[in-house]
Amino acid sequence: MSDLSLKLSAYIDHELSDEDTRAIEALLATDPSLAAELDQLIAANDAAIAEFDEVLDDPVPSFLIDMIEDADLDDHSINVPQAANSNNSWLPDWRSAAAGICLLVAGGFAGYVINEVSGNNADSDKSDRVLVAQNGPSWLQLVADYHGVYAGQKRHLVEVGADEADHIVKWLGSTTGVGFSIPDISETGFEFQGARLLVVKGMPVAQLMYTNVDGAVVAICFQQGKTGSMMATSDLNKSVINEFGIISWNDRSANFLVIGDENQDKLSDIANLAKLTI
Amino acid sequence: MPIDEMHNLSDDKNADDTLYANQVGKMVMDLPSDLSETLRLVAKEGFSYKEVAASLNIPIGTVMSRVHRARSLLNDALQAKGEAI
Repeated sequence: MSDLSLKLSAYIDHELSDEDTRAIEALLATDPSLAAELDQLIAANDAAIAEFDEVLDDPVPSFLIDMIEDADLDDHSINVPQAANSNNSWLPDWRSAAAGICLLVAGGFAGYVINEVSGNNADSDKSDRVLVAQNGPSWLQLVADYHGVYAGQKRHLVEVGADEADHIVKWLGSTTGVGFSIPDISETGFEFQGARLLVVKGMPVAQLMYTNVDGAVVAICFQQGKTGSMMATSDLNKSVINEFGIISWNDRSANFLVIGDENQDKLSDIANLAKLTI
Repeated sequence: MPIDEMHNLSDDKNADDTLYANQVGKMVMDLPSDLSETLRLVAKEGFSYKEVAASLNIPIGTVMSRVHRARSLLNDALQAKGEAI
C-alpha cells in the first residue's frame, strides 16, 4: 500500500490538505494509470455505499418501527467531537448522519429486546433468524462472537491489565461515554484481569474480563444506551447465544451484559453484583 | 424479435443484475468487520477521519489505512468478478 494510493482514498474523502489536493490533481492529469486507480477506488466506494444503503433499506417490522419512533434517539448519538472538516459542504449534515447511526443503534437494541422476548416461544429460532435477516445481528450476538474469540486467549486475554485499573476507567469511560466503576465480584470466585475495547455496529463497547482459579472467563460489557423508553428496562434478561449464557440489563442510559459459559452457575450472582456496583 | 423473446431477455437481464448486486453485497459483507465499519462511517455516514478516530479510539492514520484497505480489497474482488464474467 503506497503513500500515493493512500492519498487517493484520502482525496476521495476530501481529507487532503489544499496543497496535497493540488499535487494529486496535477499527477492525475498526467498519469493515466493513477487516474485509472482512482476510478477503481471510486467504483469500489460506490459499490460499498450502495450495499450499506441496501442494508438500511431492508424492511423493518412495523412494531419495531413503533419502538424506534417512541425512542428518544438523541441519547444514542455516537460519542465523537464536532466536525473537523466542516469545510466539506458535500458531507451529509452532522445531525442527519448522527440520526442514521441512532437508527441503526435503536434498531439493534430493538432487535435484541425482541430476540430475548421471543426466547420464550417455541418458534424462537425462526423469530431470531427473521430478526437477524432484517436487522443484522444484535449487540448480544456480536459481543458473544467477540467473547468466543477473546475468552480463549491465555497470554492476551486483555488489552490493558488490571494493574492499570485507573487508566481503564478513564479510557473506557471517555470512549464509551459511560461513567463506571470496575465491579469487585471476587466473592463469586472471579478476579478482574483487565479490559478490552470492542466495536459493535460502529459503537464502542467496553469489555471487563474476569477469571476464576479454574480458568473460566466471564466478562461484563457495556455501551451507551438510554433509559425511559419501552426498550429500556432494569430487569435482568437471560439468554443463551453460541453456548454462552448472557444476562443483560439497561440502566443509567447504558446497556450492560454479563457473559460466560452457559453452565456457569455464578452468572446471576455476578450480574446482580455488577448491576449494583458498576 | 418476437415480443415474448424480448420479455425473456429483459427477465434474464433483471436476474443478472440482481445476481450481480447480491454478489457485490456479499463482497462488502465479507470484508473484515473493522474495515467495513470504518468504511461505512466514512463513506456512508460522512464522518471525518478525525471523528472516526476519536470514536473508535484509533489513530487517524489507522482510519485512513482501513478505509483504503477496504476499498482496495473490494476493488480486487470486483476486478476478479469482472474477469470471471
